Amino acid sequence: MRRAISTLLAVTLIAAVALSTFTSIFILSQRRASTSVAGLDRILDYVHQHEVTRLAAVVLGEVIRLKNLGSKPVELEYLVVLDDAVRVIKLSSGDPCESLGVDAECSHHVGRGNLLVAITKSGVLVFPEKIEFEAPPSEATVIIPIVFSFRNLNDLGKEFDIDPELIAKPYPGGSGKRGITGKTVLILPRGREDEYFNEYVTTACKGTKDNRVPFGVLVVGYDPSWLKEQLTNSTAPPRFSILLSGPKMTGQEKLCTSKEVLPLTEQGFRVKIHNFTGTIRVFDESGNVIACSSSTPGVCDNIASAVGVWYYGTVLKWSVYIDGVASYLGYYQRAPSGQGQSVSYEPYLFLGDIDGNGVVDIIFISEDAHYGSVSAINDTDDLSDYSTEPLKLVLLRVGYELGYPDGSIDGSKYAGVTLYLNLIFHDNSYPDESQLNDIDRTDWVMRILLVDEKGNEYIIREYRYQEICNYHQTLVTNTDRSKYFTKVSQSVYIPIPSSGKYWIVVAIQDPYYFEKSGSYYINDADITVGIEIIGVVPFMR
Amino acid sequence: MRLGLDQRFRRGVGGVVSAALAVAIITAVALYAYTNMLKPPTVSPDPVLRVLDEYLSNKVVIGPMVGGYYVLNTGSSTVVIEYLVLRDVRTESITLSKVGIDSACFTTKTTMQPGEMSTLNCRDGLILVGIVSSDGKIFVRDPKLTVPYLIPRAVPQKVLFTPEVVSSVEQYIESIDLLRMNSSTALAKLEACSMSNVRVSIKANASLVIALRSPADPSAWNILLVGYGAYGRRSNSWLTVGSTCDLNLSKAGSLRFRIKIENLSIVSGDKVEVSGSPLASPGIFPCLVNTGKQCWAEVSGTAGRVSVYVASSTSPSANVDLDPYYITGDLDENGYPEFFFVTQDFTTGSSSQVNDVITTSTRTTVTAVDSTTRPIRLILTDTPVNNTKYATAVISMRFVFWDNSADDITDNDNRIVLVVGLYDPEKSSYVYSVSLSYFELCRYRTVKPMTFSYIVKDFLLYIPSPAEIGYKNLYIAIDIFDPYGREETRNDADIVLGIEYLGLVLGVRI
Repeated sequence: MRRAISTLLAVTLIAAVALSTFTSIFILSQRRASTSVAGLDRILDYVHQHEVTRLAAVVLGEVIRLKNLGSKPVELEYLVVLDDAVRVIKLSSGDPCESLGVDAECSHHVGRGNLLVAITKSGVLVFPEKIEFEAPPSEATVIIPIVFSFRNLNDLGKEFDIDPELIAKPYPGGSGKRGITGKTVLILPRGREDEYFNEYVTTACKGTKDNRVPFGVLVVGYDPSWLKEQLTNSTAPPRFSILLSGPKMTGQEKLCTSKEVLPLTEQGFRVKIHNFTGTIRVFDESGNVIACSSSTPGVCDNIASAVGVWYYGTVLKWSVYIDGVASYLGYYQRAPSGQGQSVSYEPYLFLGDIDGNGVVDIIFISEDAHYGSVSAINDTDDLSDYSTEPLKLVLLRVGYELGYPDGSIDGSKYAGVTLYLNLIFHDNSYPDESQLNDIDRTDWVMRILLVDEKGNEYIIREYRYQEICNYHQTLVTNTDRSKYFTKVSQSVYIPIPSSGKYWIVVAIQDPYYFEKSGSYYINDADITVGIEIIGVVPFMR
Repeated sequence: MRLGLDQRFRRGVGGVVSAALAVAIITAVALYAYTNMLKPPTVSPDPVLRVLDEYLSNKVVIGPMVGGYYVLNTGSSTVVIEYLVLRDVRTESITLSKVGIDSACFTTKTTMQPGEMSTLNCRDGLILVGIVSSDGKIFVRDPKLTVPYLIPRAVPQKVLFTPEVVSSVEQYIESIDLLRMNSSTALAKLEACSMSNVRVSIKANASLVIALRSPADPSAWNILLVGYGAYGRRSNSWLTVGSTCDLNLSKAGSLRFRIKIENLSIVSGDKVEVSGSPLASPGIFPCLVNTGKQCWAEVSGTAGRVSVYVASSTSPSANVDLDPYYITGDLDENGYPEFFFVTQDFTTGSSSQVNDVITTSTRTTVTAVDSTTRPIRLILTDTPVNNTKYATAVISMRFVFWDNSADDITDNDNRIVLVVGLYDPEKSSYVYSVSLSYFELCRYRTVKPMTFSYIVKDFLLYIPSPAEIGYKNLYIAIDIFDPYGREETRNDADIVLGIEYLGLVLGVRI
């Protein structure tokens, strides 16, 4: 019996030991599992914090700019910088980088060295994403090209935010009533405009003697639409854009379309022909072809190109032959301006590549036919035009390229920009040696302006007549060797105030009508101002 | 009874054992059931931690850079790029391209250790959106991270006109052997006196002396002596080159001479003197223009090359070598040597007077109006400009200009003197250029006295895109002209043009 009891006790003890062993093993394993789970929680929390906390770092010399790109505000405590050794910078309370809202930015002077990591108050390590990491192979910079490759003035107007009224077509009684005036103004009478595909245009009208017409000024350029088409179809035959202006004619000179005859008479005229496929020949006094351009290969042989600007055709007895098809023809006629009536810049603007380098030039030309000295009104009083207000082109492209949809430049980010301009200039004061006597009122023909958000304008650089007139030759008879003008390269630095938004504006005007001084006619220049390309280099603050 | 007791005992023990066994079994089952029932999620945290660790340590930043993109491993573990996510701007579609030989992008490196960067160059019209790593993680370009440009700390400018280029300028002038000058009094090379690595000694009257530091060796001189053989105050003009050339320059060069001495090293006893003073520094000595008289120059030393050109008659020619019309070397000792193109010989003129003319002691009138027949075209072939990478360029040029027309634009028409542009070597033509013409240049100088004031100009060059002209490596080139060959008394300017510095800043194509 006793043995039985002792056996029972022994068994109970064994069972208890076994049970407690099992239990302790069980409890231990339980504890371990719960420890792991708690650890996992913290890791998940860290991962979450880590993932939602994102900083961009922009290195600007010894200053680092941090931007919170994450979805939650960030409270930073330390910045770890690798100099020669690792340095830990504790952010003092009140430091702008201590607390960063979503999308907020701050700057911190870290000195020399590289920011490795930022540590938040909750201990999360944030590796800033360096936007300008190592400023990759610095063999180039940013030069924003601004070109004028637009098929028409409407598209150009949109890109440069030009006042539409200043470039609207000057229909009688219609729009386009601001910009230019004079004794007469150029208007586009109803019915004198043809917008057809492949309309026949020629100076070789039936019954004309020599198939060509005199001209005052002739501008021939490659048409912007052809330059564009060439990008995808390099074999497309060249198309041209033509501007023809002239004084009063005898009535025998005609331009013909398939439907009508346009006599070049009245009070002076301008003709705009766009998208022209055909042949243009310029003839000298003796009837020799001095220049020729054609859409058909072989037509012009080795004669010099007609692409360019040709002045004083009627004075020099030069003439032009035009024959082909065009998609637009506008025939502007001079009409008395009456009491201060003006017209838009539209008849005075030309878009086309006038030097054959594939870049569209924008040209403002108030010259029509004549040159003159102090003893005459340069373009005669009928044709002497002048601006009543400048034509302003806003260089929105600069802001667009810098990432601002309103085309502005942020003064807090950019300290300035440099403009490089390739310009052309010509005027009709002759001889060139006495142009400063003929034009003695100092006035500007091109201005670079900075405009703020309130519309205040700051003049940065003026190209005054008295400076820019030195770059051209008014009268050229030997056109294959001598040049009316060559492209003038100019650079202009524009400082930008440190806060606010700014726009760069290029303004153009013809400031001269005429003034009588004793028996002299002075301040009577008509001009040609053109821009081919503007390059803009932004400078960061 | 004994058996009974024993039996009872046995039964008792058996009961206890079976009870214990039962307890043990029940306990075991219960424990098993209990542990199994209440077991927490038994996913081992280790693999999770490993994945998380990898996840956290995998970090890639993608951004645009000059001519492509960079992919930077900012994490702490290796990233292997397997696929590229690309946007095709032409078809407006997203494509996946496996990296490798046939990939749409050239990738410098596919396996990136922490901190390493790979650069990608994609075909035209393809924009890198993101990458897929070998372990399937996708990294995309963060639009918030896409700053418009990567702006280096300073604008990088490449110097194109280095001393190395200038000292071997012949190699950069297009077809220099075929280039000919047009001259109203033809110069011809005097082969007997033109030698290399030779002793030279000159004592001569000179109308114009240009003495520069050699670009190859700044301790040596490059000298251009221009003059005519007037009999000097002290003696005849003499030229001795080596042991075989001993020339009475007053006689042989009585109409006109040009002597070009390159890499002249002088030791004690040798001299470089103009009007009796040894030259301490380089200079241009416009003796005849400024004083109305030639000056006396004495030069002796060992020259790398001596070239002697004289006129034997006053007949014009359009077949004169370019060699006597240019000299290289540093004028202002700033370490950037000039390339001087010199058509000026003697005098100034005006619209009613022929420029550059003298009457010799034998009463012969010598007109030395020189002009180019073709542009002198310097093509800077060391620096190709790739039109897929760059859209614009700014050339900064420092130069000096002088011409001999007293009444400037009355004497000369507006003609091009200098062209700066981007040159297509395949087509032998400029794809874009700007130029400087006489009407501008003449504003920068005084005719008399002849002085030199440096001009710095920036030229903006448009680089046509591959869509316009195809994929090209273009070169910066300059054309130099003397466009004035004389039309009666007009269009007869002769010039001195020195080009010193040409710097190139490239603008990225975006």
